[in-house]
Amino acid sequence: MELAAYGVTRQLRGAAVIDIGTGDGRLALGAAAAGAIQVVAVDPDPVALSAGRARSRELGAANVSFRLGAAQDLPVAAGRFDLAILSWTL
Amino acid sequence: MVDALQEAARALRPGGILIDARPDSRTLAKVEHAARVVGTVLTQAHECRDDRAADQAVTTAKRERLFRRVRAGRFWYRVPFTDRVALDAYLRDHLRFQHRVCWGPSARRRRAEWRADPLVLVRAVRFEVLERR
Repeated sequence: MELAAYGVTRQLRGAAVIDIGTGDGRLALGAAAAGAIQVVAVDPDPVALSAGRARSRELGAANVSFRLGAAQDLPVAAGRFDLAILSWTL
Repeated sequence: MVDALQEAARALRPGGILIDARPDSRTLAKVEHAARVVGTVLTQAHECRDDRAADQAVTTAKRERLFRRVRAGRFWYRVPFTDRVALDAYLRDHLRFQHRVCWGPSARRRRAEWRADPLVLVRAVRFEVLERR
């Protein structure tokens, strides 16, 4: 619902997405369900990431990976993503 | 905060899209009972300061030509509670909000008419869609 409110449904299809400060991965999993080809979900909280991984397994979202990291020092290569989400992170 | 935006710009390809979404402290959160607004909840002063700093960071990122605005908007995020006790517990633990509701109806009326009814906290969320330059 939130991703639709942002008006990016079309851009999500086939996109590489990074969700910065993903928490339990709600939006990352939503992006995958909306057609993103690959989603990297980053958060500094390992407990939240564990919850996200568990939810991802339940949903069978094999194209979502959860990584420990901070918004100020993302564990990803430069220029890789079509869409980045900073939801309640700044 | 600017460093997080710089990192997001680094991760994106040129022309990539950044969504920045945050609670909107310029608009009061509302409490609804039976689809009617019956109270408001103020944001803690330090959270308002953080929100202004985040606004400034986004402005700086645009001024530094990392991003350009594509569009912006707002929507309402609804958090349901089974009753007043559950809402109070949520507010007591919440870092963002002040811990008390500013109620419209009197305490007598609230107790008499809807003591155990469900309530909904309705929060404004603002967002900006930015394009990586």
